[in-house]
Amino acid sequence: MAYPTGPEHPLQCILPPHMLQNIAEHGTAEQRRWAVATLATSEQFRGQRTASAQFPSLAFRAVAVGKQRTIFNADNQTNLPGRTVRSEGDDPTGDAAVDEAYDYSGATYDLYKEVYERNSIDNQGLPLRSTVHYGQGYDNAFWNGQQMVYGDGDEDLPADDRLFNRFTLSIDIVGHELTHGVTQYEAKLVYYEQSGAMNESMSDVFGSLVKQRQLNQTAADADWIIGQGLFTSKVNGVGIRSMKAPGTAYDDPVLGKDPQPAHMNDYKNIDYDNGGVHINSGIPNHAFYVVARELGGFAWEKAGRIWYVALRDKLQAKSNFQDSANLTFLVAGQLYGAGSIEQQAVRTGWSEVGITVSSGNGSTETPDLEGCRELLIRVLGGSR
Amino acid sequence: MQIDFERSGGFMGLRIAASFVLDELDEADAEEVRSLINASNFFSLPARIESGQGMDQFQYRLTVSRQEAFDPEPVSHTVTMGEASAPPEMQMLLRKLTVLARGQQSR
Repeated sequence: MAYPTGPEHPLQCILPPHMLQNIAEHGTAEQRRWAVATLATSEQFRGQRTASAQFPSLAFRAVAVGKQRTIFNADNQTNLPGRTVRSEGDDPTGDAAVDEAYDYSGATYDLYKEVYERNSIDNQGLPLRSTVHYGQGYDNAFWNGQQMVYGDGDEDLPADDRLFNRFTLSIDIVGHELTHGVTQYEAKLVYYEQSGAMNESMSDVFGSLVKQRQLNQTAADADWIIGQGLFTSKVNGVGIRSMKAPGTAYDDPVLGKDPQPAHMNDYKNIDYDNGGVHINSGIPNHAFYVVARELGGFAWEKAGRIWYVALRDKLQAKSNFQDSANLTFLVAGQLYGAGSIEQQAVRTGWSEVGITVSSGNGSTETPDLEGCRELLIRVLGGSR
Repeated sequence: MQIDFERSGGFMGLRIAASFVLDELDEADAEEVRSLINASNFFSLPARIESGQGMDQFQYRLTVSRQEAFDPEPVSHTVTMGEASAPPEMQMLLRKLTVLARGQQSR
């Protein structure tokens, strides 16, 4: 009997590790091979490394311990990663971009580690590599699949023409880029249209939480601005995006007006920006803000945990806004109880952006569970 | 020669779009743009250059239309590309057009 394995198989998303371990230890030879392969594939593709620690005999690759930051300088060229200028434990260099990339990637690592018990981007201690001073006049920051990259803004223009400062200046930008890495190892949200906007929103959510935790701010205290400080004084704006009030972050003669919608009624079907991933992300961003507002206190504790568990365990590559609403609602119920204040807050959050949570057939969870049960019956039915 | 330029995406998601008639630009700018278009072999590039892996990188859409003495009919070509996949000469052209587009938007 051949059992399917691979990253797309629903069993990987549902079967708890202890059940797989049972099969790996007590099943027939073929069942043991399947369970080990499933665990290994799940480890590789989903990033749930806690299973590794529980099953050392399965010989997964070693897990690195602690922060391992390296900052590179591209010297305003575009070759990556550039020359090493600061490694873990080194003293500050005096170069603001280098030291911000170091400190803020550390703060991001700490949020994931101390609050969500996640060991770096891949949950296996992946070293954090950042390149600063990338390119000339490079007004951007990005995650290239392996590392973070930051430009200096408009350093190549005369002072009076500059609109953007260096991109390491805002801690939430660093948290945003690192979270793209987390998403890459977990839900792998396809970077197009709604799943792409969810990918972007996850990065804004955890980027903002890194900042709020650094400042010890409650949801009520936080400004919920992404990229505060990035604009020079020449721009009429407070930042790049507002999670509290999408569409209001800037309104400038050169840059135009912040195009983000805050409600599904204003969703934008566009053929650029990968179908508007940085634009329609305003909708799930605002849903998260409302959940945090409803719950009060530190947003990373409950709202953040619900979103993190959804990203880690539930969302899938093509999850759209409705799926995300259903799955965060599901997670809130699992973490805090059905009908709990937390679950009601999630319903309210999505409702305020025009999405009604459906905990029935609309959930992507249902077919996976059924498929899981079926396959489990097949596996266990043939054992011993 | 006319150029239609669009940059979208990036961390900021800011869209910049502008159209230029080369003969209407400053002489130095026009010469630099013409030279970079030639150096990049623009009319030989595929219509789409895939971006590859990564998030928050810029997306570009560039259309160049011309009717030179040696062109029996108007020629127009559009290339859509991600920044990481653009050839080096194209990177220089894209940066130049970004600065020109921003200048046009500020007027």
